[in-house]
Amino acid sequence: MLTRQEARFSETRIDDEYVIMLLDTGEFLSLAGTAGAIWERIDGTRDRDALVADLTSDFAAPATQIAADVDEFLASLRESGLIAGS
Amino acid sequence: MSTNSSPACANRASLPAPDLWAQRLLTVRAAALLCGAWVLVALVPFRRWRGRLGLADGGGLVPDIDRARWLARRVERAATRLRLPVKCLPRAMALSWLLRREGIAHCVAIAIRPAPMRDGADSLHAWVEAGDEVVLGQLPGPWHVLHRMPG
Repeated sequence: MLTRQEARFSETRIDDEYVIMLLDTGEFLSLAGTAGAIWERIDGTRDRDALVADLTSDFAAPATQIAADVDEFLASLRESGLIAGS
Repeated sequence: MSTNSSPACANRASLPAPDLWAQRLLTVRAAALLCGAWVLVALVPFRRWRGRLGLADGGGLVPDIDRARWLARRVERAATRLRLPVKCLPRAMALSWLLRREGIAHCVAIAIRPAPMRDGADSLHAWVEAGDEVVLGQLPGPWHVLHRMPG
């Protein structure tokens, strides 16, 4: 399952945007649109495949495109230390 | 008695000498802390110093808000006299260290503006809260707090 590394960041939601502050570096990330939709679904109840399936049913885009976007985004979140699991 | 129309001069003239020197000493200390904070923000990773900001418990005492405000004025005065461009976060850090030294409970807040208002300068801000009051760094909002220290 994909889980958030809660101790590594602070988060606030502003309208449809998630703003994340990385507590190691003090950097800020803004997650809106597709990135925000992916982020809010990382709640410890889904793995990567379930995440793709969930987004495919909600968004009018090919599953292959969604899968590619998800994989790219998950890789960047892992690199930032924000998530764990698969 | 000399006459002088400057309120600042009148203020200084009315302070007892020891209090005036104590005030000046605090301002000098604040200036040193501002320089240290400026270096930390510029050169040291956030994780190494964020745990040294804020104070959750001032020994169970109600925070001395008047003292916190007075210390905040020392920090602001020092900041105006430095040649360094000390913005909100170093100021908040300097005040936090002064408040911690005196055991005054407080927190340092870091906040961000909503997306439509992030046009470069001042989209991020830091301030110091003691009790229910912002004692340093009041700036018109809207602001959304991202992080408070201590957490």
